[in-house]
Amino acid sequence: MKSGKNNKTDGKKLLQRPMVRIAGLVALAGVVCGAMLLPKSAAVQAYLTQRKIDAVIADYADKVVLHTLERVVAKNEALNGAVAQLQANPTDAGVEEAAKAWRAARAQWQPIQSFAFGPAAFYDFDKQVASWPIDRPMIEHSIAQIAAGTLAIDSGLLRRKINSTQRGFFTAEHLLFRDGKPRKAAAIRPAELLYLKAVTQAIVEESLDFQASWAGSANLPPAAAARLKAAQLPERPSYAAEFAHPGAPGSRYFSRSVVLQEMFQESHTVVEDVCPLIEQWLGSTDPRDSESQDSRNAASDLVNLLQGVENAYLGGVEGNRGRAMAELVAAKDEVIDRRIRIALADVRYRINAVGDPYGEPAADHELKVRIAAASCWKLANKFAAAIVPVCMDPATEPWAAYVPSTAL
Amino acid sequence: MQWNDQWNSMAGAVWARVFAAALIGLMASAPAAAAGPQTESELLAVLAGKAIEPGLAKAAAASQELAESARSLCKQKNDEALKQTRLAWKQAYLAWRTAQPMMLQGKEYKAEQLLEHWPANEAVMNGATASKELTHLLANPDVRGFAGAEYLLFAPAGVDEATTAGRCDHLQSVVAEIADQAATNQLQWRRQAPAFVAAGDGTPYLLPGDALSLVFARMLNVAERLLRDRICAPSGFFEGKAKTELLEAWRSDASRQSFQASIDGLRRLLLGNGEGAVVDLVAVKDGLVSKRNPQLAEDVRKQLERIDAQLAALKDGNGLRKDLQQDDKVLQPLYKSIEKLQKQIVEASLSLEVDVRGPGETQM
Repeated sequence: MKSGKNNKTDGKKLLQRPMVRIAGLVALAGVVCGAMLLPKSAAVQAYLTQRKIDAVIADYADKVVLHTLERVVAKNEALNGAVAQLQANPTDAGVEEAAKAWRAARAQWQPIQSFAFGPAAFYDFDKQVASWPIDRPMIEHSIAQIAAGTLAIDSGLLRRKINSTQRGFFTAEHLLFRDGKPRKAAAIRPAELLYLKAVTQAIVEESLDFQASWAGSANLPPAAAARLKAAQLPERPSYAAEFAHPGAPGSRYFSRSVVLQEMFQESHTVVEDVCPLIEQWLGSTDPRDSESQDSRNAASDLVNLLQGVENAYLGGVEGNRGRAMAELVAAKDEVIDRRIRIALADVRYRINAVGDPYGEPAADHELKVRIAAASCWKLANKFAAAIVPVCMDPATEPWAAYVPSTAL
Repeated sequence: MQWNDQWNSMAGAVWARVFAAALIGLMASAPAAAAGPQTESELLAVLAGKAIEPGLAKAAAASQELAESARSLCKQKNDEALKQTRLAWKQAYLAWRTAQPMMLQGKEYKAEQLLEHWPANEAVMNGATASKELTHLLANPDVRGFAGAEYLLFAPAGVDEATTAGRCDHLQSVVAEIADQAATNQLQWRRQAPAFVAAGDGTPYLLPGDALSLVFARMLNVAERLLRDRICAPSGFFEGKAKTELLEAWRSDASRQSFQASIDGLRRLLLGNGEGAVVDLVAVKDGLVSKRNPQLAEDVRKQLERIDAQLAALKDGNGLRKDLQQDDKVLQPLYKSIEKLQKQIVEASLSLEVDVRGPGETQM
């Protein structure tokens, strides 16, 4: 006790010495100056930027891609379930339920276009699940064969032996809709229902494969993994792992910049694709000019493509968003970020304002289509303006995806 | 070609009448406008009738007055005529500066820039107005425009020097060009005004916001030029040394007034003159993403008052130039205030969800 007291007194005495006080103040000033100057150092700035980009990329893989694919699988399973119900009990209400499930599944599929790189490009999942146009004569031929008992159809056969133009969303649409409305149950032949069920089952399996290719088969829930095995689908490594770790051994991504270029350019490409489609699909009074011609789902298809861009830009679906591309844009130019958000909302509003292109043509229909297309091009411009400052940030180097081996 | 000219002139006259009728209609509906515009279309009508047309008309009239005054000076060659022409130059220049935010001519911007080449090239001016062999040099932009006219009128010590044959010929050529451009601006606007007010019908503006975006882009350009060319360059903020010869209108003792004129032009579009303008719509209109922003509207009003007060504290013309030679930071507070106003204009465009292309964005 006594010794402790003495130490305290000695400490006080020490602090009272002028030289010690001055040294203390100098040290404190050094710490304060260091704390003020450190964030201004280029190296520290680059480090902070890299950390921020890493967080955005990780959340893009997790909350944009993987979360979207989970929802895709869920919506496709719901469609498959509704078709199973319809097959068991073919009523008008059952067709309506299946048609509703089809629209929901289609709406959930469109956002995948904003990450149409990587597995989507390697295995062409959009072609497997949403091939367009479909081969109607061959579909009819297969249905006739089923009816005649010369063809036993199932999802495996569809996926392995039959062209993608005879399955997928638009085949299911063709079997469920006519002139924008669900078909009457009485008009649907039993062989059509058998074919439809095989089609929706194949859609589920392809979308599970898509999910596995990003998540990695080993990372899927056991039930999903078992279904993949049952469908004889291959084991997939996790693309998300290499995507989220650019520059790491095993990653096809050479640098952060290359990953950012994929993210930004794919979204920009979707917007650039949507702009002419607005005029092509909504500007025409003939449903055959759009993909979803039997369900007349063109406006919804376009809005949902842009929903994918919005999800990507804002870091996930509403209610489950993380660090976002928007954050990187705002760090470079807060105004352009806000203009992109406004433009995203504006295009959706303008597409919805066009209304039904196949109903009674409104007097100002053409003007509304032009306005929606112009709004879309404004969004494309804003996106294009944001790409270079973010993807060419020196902290993301090297910028080129491929570099000469001598530079390695 | 002749038929085209005749047709253009007839078409111009028709548009002028349509526009005049529209203006009368607007004036008749003054009580409704007094509440301030509630929609983009109402705002466009108010801006067209109450700000842009009067602003351009005043600039055209003042420039015409300058041209006539210069003609009189060169005939009479007396002190009183010189005094009147100097006054006319000042009025024309200030009216031009006030009208600049209203010049929505887009691609014609280059023609406007040619009249604003500061400072005048004194050596060429003196040589080329004195020697017939050098008169071809008088076509260069650096001896023409407002700076050229100012030099010809304000640099000479007296009327004899100001009205030599060479100077008078050049002065009249320069001020005629200014008057032509100001009249062209007004005529072009009168042709465009019906489409501007009717924006949203697709001919050519698809939306009222598309026409409004021209106003915002123009206001931002004017603010940027104030900052970059008119304050920053003479102050040498980024080069370390003031270049006071770049201060505009110091010879005519109108530098401060010309800053004020630019601010007045911006004020006319932002606040209006009792009839409401941009900020009134900002205060009441919700967008798809942005919410109405009465606070921003109030902030813009206050910022303009702050700038007025800063301008009032400055000396004018040569006095300001001398202050700038002593202290190159004398315009720094004004720079910061205008920069803040520029940011508020950007914020207003975001609030109204009006698209304004930024650097690097391609023309659609």
